[in-house]
Amino acid sequence: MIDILQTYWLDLLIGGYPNGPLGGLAMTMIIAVTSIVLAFPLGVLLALANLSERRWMSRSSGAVITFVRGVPLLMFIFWIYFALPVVTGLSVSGSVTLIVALVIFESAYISQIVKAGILALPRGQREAAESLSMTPFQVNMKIILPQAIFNMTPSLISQLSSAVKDTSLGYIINATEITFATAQINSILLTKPLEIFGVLAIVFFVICASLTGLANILERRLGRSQSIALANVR
Amino acid sequence: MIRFEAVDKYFGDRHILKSVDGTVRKGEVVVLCGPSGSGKSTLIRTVNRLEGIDAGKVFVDEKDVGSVRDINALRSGIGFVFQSFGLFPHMTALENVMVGLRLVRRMPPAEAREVASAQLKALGLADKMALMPAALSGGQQQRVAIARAVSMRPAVMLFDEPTSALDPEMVNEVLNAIEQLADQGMTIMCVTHEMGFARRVADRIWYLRAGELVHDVDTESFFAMQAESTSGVIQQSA
Amino acid sequence: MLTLLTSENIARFLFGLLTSLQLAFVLVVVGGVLGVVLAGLRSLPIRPVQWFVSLFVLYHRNVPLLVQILFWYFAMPQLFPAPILRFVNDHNPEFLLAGAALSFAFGAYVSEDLRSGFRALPKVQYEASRAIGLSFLQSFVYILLPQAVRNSMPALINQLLLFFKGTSLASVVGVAELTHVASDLNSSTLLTFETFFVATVLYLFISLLIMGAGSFVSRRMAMRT
Repeated sequence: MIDILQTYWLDLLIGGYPNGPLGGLAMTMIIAVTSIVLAFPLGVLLALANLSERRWMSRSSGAVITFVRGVPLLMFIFWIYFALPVVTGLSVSGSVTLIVALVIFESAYISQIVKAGILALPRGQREAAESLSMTPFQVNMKIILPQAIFNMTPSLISQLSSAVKDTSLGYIINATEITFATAQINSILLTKPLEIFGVLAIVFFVICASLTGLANILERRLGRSQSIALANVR
Repeated sequence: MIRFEAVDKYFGDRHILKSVDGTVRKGEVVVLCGPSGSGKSTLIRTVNRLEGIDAGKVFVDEKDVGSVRDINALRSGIGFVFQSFGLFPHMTALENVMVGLRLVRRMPPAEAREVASAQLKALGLADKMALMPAALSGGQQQRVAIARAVSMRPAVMLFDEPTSALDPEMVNEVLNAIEQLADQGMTIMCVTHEMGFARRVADRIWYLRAGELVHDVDTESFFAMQAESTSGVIQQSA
Repeated sequence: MLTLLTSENIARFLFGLLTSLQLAFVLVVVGGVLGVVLAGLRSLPIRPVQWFVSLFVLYHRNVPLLVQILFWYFAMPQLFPAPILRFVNDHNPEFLLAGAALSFAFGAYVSEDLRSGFRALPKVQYEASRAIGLSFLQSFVYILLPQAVRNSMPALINQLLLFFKGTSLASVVGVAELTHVASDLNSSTLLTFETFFVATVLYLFISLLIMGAGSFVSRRMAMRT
């Protein structure tokens, strides 16, 4: 395993760059972080719509969330993979496809987290803000969301960990992330799948376990009321 | 029937039981009382090894509890009633009583059902047999717990503050059930604050303070002693 | 759409769905038993055993499911003794290996959910069951486990939903489940929208059933308390 690491560590880390597209672990992390960052505002909007008092808003956002929860991520990826070139007329790389699919997918789960975070706040917050004649937009932006998101940071970090794991599906559509890179190395070596995939597993293990560990430490510091609210929402 | 020999127990640094010696004879009813934290519950929990001990020995029917080989067989011969009832919430009252009979005594289902229903009837719960514990009052739940323990035909019955978690109006139905058992000659150790009950039913009173068995006397003497004492150490309830 | 939905293709889709459901069934049964065993092992006061279970759970929760499937498919066979390897190769190896990966992962998650379920049990349940003379095993199986399962039902059903969707990943190693069928038909008919639409609808249908079961159970539990 050590010699494999020594020979291929650069490929695993950054893929074929600069002789090809950026890949490997670097690409994995870029895809994961980009997806979460882009999915976040979408998730917030979905959460606010879901909590809205206007029936059509909460119903339709609820339908979107249920839809995303009910369909496998792989299906989404295939949809985007085949539909995106048709819609945009461009040919899109596997990585971009993956990011788009992940943004849609993660936004639904982030909306659940944000929703729980908002619901965990004491009612008085919204009422106090409204009594100061703040518009609903101001109430949300300045009072509710900052607190909710601060409280939900541990869960958001957990979601980042999930996103990192989800990037592995790039393997299927030739997105140059680390799973794909590993499979390529395996097809070259052919006789050492145990070591190769072992390395892959260990890399994911280290990253995701660290992120989850970080989330746990933060959660313990912030108290447990939010996770209870989240469990109720889900 | 039950014998404590120089029983010592520590919880970390705290000396919970200090060299306790005592004997409960067959058919005797012993009530344990004393201030909170005096070790009364811990003491009876050592009888069926729900708590271990750090020194000394506990004997049940001359068997050393600490070194008995089959702890499950020993426990099946000791009935224990908990302050919080301990009924299994996913089973009906009848099933709660039957489970020990089926799994430990290995009775066939029909026989177990008969024994269990007879026991519940004897405790006035004939119409509650098919109900889940959540549908029963505290007093009813505790009586089911008593039925569950008694149906195993134990040699001794241990009660750990059986009425402390009950609303006042339900305390008597449980105390009466215990008295019923005492009248039938059951060997009983009961931790309780119900001194009226103790006066009526107990043969001996064991008074513990800070882990020491301070008094081990017959009931009459105990209450005489208590009446003379001016420090009002024990509360009396009618 | 009509060109796609020939009786032949409909049969293909349904067989694909059936395979997905078969995978789900296998992972629930094998993973469920594994999860219970792991939860039981973890409650034993033997340190090395607890560490082993912790490590098992940590691995399966932090390594992506796809990587686990790839590991089982490409790497694990190297470790199998010859007779097992022969057996696997003769009996639908893709299904068996993907099924093994899904089952182990499901078992890890189930054991964690059960662990929470056990932790929610009041101490008196442990004591009362042993006090009437039930052995550790009897107490675990008849008294504690049923309650822990009831406590963790919502979490377990959520897990079921996630893993049913996870069966789609088995297509990557060649299991002829629903996603694979859709992908194949897409290649042969080029009716991309239609093929994926049908597959999506079928997935959604089963998922909605599972989600419905989940809310039903949650509501019943809320009523009880």
